[in-house]
Amino acid sequence: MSTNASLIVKDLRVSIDEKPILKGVNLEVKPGEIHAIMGPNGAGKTTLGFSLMGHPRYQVTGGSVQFGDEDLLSMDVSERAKAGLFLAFQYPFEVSGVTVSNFLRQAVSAVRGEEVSVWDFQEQLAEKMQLLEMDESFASRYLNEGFSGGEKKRNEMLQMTLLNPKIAILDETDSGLDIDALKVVAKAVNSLRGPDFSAIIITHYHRILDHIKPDIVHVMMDGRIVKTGGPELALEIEKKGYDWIKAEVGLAGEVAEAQGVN
Amino acid sequence: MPTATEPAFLAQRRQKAAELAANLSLPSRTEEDWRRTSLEGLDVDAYKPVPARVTLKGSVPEGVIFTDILTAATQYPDLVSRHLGSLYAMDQNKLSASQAAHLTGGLFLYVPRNTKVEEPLQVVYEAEDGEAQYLHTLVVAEENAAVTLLERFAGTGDYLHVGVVEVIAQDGANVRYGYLQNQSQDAWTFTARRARTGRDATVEWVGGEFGGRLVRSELFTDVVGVGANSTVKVVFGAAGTQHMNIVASEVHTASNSVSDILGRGVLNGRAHTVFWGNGQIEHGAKNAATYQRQQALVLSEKARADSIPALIINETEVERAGHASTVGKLDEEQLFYLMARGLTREQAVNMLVMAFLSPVLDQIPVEELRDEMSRLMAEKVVG
Repeated sequence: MSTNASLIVKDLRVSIDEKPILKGVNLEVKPGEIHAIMGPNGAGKTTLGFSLMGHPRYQVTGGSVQFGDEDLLSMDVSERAKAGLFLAFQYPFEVSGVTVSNFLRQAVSAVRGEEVSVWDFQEQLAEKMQLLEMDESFASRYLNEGFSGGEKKRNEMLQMTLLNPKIAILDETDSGLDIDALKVVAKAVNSLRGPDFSAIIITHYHRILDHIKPDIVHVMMDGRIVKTGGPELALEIEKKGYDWIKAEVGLAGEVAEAQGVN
Repeated sequence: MPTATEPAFLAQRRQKAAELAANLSLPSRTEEDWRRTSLEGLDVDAYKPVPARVTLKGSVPEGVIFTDILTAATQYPDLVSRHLGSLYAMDQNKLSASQAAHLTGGLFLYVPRNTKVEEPLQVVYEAEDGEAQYLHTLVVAEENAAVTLLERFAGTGDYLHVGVVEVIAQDGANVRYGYLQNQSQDAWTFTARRARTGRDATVEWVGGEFGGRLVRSELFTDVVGVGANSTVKVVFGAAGTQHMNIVASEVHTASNSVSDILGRGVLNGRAHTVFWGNGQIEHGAKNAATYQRQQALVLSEKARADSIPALIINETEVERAGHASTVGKLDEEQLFYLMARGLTREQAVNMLVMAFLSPVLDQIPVEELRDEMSRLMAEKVVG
């Protein structure tokens, strides 16, 4: 496996229950880069994250995804995680009966491909929890059970920092967070930043991008990336919304046309 | 399997049972709790009774008797004859009568009053192809005695196991009976367990059911002592074409007594399980409480779990009576979440299975038993 793993998405098409959601996504994320993907609700941002991770309900109907030397789409979910892909869930699932620490030790062992000793693991866990300003008692709670929204997001960041992925996709991790929690998320991402780490920050808001500075900003609409720019694009969206982009790419006309055909 | 020095009471009991066995039939599907269980293909006489292979482990304090039941019958005929069969009648069907007639071995555990056995006592039974094992475990705990007994059952090939366990817990006694049923996947396995609690006594049935082509497992307690406490905790794992019929019953005839039935099982392949729960509070058992929770997790499309709780309340002043039962599947979203963190599907399934079982496993008092159950569940049911 090469350490310099670029993610290259070409003309990716994905359907859910036969309904096309992604209609040809093109994206290249090079090692060390932070990309932001913004866009209105229903644009397909979450679908992109889930499809890259390999959720079985998202059917890939066309296109390709290359991750380093590997064909990502031919790998199952756990293989993708082991290859260095990480998805921070917008709504992490609750698993009663499994403690955070037990789960994380198994996950870390799985991703590293070797059993991590309890002792070593506890040390790493304590260090990351301190970084993310989490209480020790957190580790012995059942995974996400009874967690507040903020706690769930912190827990996702804890997993990310421990698993140390090559590329992390943050699916609206910033939604619903107060400024302190948002800073913790930024701290987690920034702690991993380096030449071998890249990230895709999926968000509605510019806010998080004040704390995690993106290299490239994309706008997604109707299942495609319709505009790409630098950090200034996020600021422009913050001020003007999305309508001007819609007009610019002539999406309104296209949508009307598609409806006319149906 | 009569021994050379067998006492008269046992010889007479065998003879009476043999006559019954010749005339009785196998349990019939017209009986409610056998309705979903087919004994087709079972030929009891095709299996040859042979002396039981019993291994006993553990040291006991002065005055405690911990020995195989045939030896005990010879050495302590008064004690054994007084209690043997006192809770379980031999005349119910061909199986109960055959068990009494052939009695191939088992265990006698007697704990005198005010004696506490600290370490869990352990017994291992092994059976082989073609054999019939008719086993009897008799536990007598006198006033304020305390003991934990752990029995394990294993074997290879196609054989017949018919077991009876009787636990007599006198006033204030505390008996914990744990078992691990890991019989061969080709074995016919029938076990009737009966307990009787004295005043303020505690009886705990703690079991794991994993083996057997067909399993009938009864865990009954007569809660007859005021203030007595009875619990059943069973974990079952069935795969392939296994059929398990588990019946847990608590019958209260004493006031202020409490019982609790907790059953959780995991099914795979084409397995079929039936879990019957019965909480019964008779007239006069004022302020008694009975509760049951039974849950099954089904991992495959073709497996089927029947969960049948019943409450029979014949007393108006009841502290608490209730039941809850669910049969569910694995949550695909949870699996995806765990796999997205690098766990293989099998690891993720196993983690969810263990999480599902943890409310019962966490309450299993002997760590060794808990670990073995986790391992068997992972190997035989999930894997």
